[in-house]
Amino acid sequence: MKKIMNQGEITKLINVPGKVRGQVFITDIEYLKNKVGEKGITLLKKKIKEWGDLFDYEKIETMEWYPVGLRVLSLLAIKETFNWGDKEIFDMGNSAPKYSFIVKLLMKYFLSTQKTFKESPKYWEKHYNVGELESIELNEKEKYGILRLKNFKIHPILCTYYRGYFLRFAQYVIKSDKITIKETKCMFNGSPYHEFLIKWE
Amino acid sequence: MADEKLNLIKEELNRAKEDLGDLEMYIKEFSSFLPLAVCTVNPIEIIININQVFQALTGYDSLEINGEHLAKIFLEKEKIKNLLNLTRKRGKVRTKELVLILKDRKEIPVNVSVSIRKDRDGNFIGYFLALFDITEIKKFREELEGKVKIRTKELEDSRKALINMLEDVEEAREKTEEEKNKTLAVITNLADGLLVFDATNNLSIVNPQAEEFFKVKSKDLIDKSILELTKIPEFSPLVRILGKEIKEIYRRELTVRKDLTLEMSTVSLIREKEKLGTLIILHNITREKLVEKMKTEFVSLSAHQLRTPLSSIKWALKMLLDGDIGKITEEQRDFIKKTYQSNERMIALINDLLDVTRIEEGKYLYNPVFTQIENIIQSVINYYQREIKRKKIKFEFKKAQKKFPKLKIDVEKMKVAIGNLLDNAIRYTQVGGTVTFFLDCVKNKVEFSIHDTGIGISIDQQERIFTKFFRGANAVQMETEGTGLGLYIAKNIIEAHNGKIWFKSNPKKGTTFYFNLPVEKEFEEFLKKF
Repeated sequence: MKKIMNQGEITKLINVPGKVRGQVFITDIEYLKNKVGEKGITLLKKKIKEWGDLFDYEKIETMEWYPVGLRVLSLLAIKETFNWGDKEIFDMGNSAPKYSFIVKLLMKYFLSTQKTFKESPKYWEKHYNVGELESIELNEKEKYGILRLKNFKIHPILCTYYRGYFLRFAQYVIKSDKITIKETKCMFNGSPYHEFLIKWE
Repeated sequence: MADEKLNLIKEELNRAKEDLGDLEMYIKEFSSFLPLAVCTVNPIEIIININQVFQALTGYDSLEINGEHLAKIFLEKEKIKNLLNLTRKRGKVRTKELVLILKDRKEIPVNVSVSIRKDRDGNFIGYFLALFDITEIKKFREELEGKVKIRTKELEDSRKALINMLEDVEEAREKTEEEKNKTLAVITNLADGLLVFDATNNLSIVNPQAEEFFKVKSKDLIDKSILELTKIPEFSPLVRILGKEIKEIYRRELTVRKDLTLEMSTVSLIREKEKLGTLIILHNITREKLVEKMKTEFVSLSAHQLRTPLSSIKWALKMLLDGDIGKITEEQRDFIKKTYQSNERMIALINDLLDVTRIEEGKYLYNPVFTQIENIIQSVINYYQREIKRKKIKFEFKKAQKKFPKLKIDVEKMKVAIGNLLDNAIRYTQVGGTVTFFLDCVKNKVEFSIHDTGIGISIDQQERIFTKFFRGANAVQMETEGTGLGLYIAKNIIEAHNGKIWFKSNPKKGTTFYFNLPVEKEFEEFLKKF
């Protein structure tokens, strides 16, 4: 198991301002149940304990607010425990809407490409109290759309996770087998915001 | 104040969060409890949620199937599309059968019910699909259908067989009906009268001719027993002859009344050894009897008329031969003698004819007396002694060594009968042949037989031997003289004595005539007088 975190980094992340709904942790566990089973979850819980008993997945409540840093730590713990790369984190993000109770509640926004893009800020608001998600452009004729995430520079792992996550949004509303997503702008690369270009054929 | 308001909002928020948590829990519990496979589909037909039963049914977990197009899991892509379109129009569609493709590519039949989802504002936001596995039901149904099909085929086969049988039966019935109608037509239109008695001797059919004969109506007679028929006067003579057991009768005369004589025969109706009844055939012989009577009367009259001149001729010739009228030459004597013999034969023929007419008129009455039969036989033999000697015939009278009872017979008639038989035996036996007369008494019958080694009777003529005027061809060839009435008269005499006559003959080897006569006890005869 490759160590990617130290205590200093953990503490720093815990103290990042902003909150996230408990749903994200529950989605993580639901996904892992399928991917690694109960044994894997036990290992993950052990990792979280190693990192200072940060939280207990069992006690997380869907609609409760938790420090946004814990969201990042959950993903990092998963990555370290299971030695996952970006691909796995991307897939996890892509699958998250399938498990999310909040996403299911928000399904009324996933009616069309246009509606989905338009209502995407609401989605963000339901999950985070930091950062803003904006729909910058949707060109159905040219078959592309751009989502922008502002004021949300917490950890690059979330860039990978949300690439998968936003792709699922598109997959829910666009009838195409060939849909791609690319983070064209990233705050960790010096851009003032994150931008995701979604294209389809 | 602001703090209080903030606290109230926080409390309200916490309550809302708790309610939402409870709701989520409830939805999860409900979803896991639901025994039906359910999935949520968005407007562009992407699966966005499934329950545990759906997972168990399809083999797909949420990760695998959420986000996939609904058509992926159905074999009939067009059908599911049409089903969703129909649901959009109607709001819900229940139980449409489709084929579901499972994760392991196995295909199973499912009943699909679809309902549309709406948001609070009534906007369409997708579908709920419920799937029900009908593999077992379908299998059961198919098995049932198979069984029904087989059973139906069996029933159809049975029906066909039954129809064939019914057709055969109908055909047979029609044939039987046709035969019955034919038979009835024959019975109805038959010139003879017919009576049919069933197995229990109850009268079942009386044809119109029989009704006419007896002047009765069929409806008054049907189902009456033979005993009941005795009470009907018209039937008394018939029943007397038939007896209560309806005995076998062949061509028996029945005089119903003065102007109606019937010839009656019975025929047993037998099928597969089972007696079904008796048929009585009544043939009207009144006309034949009348013609016969007229013939007989004519012959009788003619014979009587002929006999008188023949007697005169006889006596005239006798006087000439005896020389009462004067002397005649030898040549004249010879001629007169031949004429005399011819006249004698003529007289004999006339006598025979008269006997026959008497027999036929029923006037051949005899005067029976108890007589020792051996004496009668001996007197007849004596009469033929000269002829026996002339033909050098070895004659023997073989009589059983026992005492013979007296027979009640008309002596003269019996002499005629025995004489006719003995005459034939001598006449048709060549010179030097043998004639033997046997006499025996067995039980209550005296048995006679006359055996000769004569010319015999050819087989093809044997059955006509007792008929009037019949003479065998070989007999005519051997003896030109003869009336052909001897055996006819003999038979009638013997039968008039309640006897029976028959014969056995081998052409060119000889003939034996047998007859018997019943023994009647004199004492019983004596009692009858009282």
